[in-house]
Amino acid sequence: MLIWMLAICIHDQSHNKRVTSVIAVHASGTYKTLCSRDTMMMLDEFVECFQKEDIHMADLPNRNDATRPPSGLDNDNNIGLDRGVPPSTPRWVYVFGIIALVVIVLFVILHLTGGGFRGHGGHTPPSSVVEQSVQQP
Amino acid sequence: MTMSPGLRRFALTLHVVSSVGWLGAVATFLALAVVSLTSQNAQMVRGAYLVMEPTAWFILLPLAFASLLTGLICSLGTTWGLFRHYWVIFKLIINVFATFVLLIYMETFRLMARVAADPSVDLAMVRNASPVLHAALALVLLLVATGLSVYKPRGMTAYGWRKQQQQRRMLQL
Repeated sequence: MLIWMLAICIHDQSHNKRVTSVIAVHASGTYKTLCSRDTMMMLDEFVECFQKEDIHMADLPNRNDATRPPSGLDNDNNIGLDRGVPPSTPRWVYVFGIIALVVIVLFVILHLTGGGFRGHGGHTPPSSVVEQSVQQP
Repeated sequence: MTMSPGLRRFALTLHVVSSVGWLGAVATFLALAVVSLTSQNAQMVRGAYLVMEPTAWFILLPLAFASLLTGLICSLGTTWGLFRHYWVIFKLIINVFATFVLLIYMETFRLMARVAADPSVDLAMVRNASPVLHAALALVLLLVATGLSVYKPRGMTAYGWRKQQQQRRMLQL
């Protein structure tokens, strides 16, 4: 989890120029320099750096994902990584599972009963029609 | 095996293109299915069923398999994994289920095209509501899969948690 974004401006005496760097500090204790400019950084450049980091974060899983509480739980009640217990299943998984099960059951029932569609399993036209069309030269 | 960032982005691009392409193709099929069911123009109704078969073979099926293959590559080639996060598992189930139903449905496309091509068969017998149901269901499934990809709802499986623990222990050594 990203917890700090720092913009640091220093004067590089060896090259006699001003350097600005944006540094991201993560909850895991790691940090990295997102970008550096030889001039004072403008606000839009800072925002651009932040957005790039945000995209990067969204693209790969968070290292602390297992410790994040499912919705409805606060951090204090979370059973997580550091306690040696697997994280509990989030509520949305149960909801999605039930919906998926209902959809599959409905789908199968519709196919077995015909569901108002012609032909076997609701897929094919009546066999007489198919045979008729095949026999035609 | 974890892919390099460049390769990962390339694989992700292919996955997005194939998956969104599949979604678009299914939407087109839904439009064709509705037109074939409601249109009063006999030629248009027959033409719609005739078009469905080759389009399914050359567009729907390749995109479905491309989406499945690139999805597997993206998950196995990154730290997301295939069975570590619930949203990835749901996407896999949706993809496999939709591809499996599509494969079965290919025979139906062939039969519907054969009946539509026969001018002696009455137009009422050519019409079939089945493609509307299947295309609508496929569209909903693929929209859910797209939503899962974008929002990536949190939730790690017990297997994913164990793998993460192992990786952390290895990093600490």
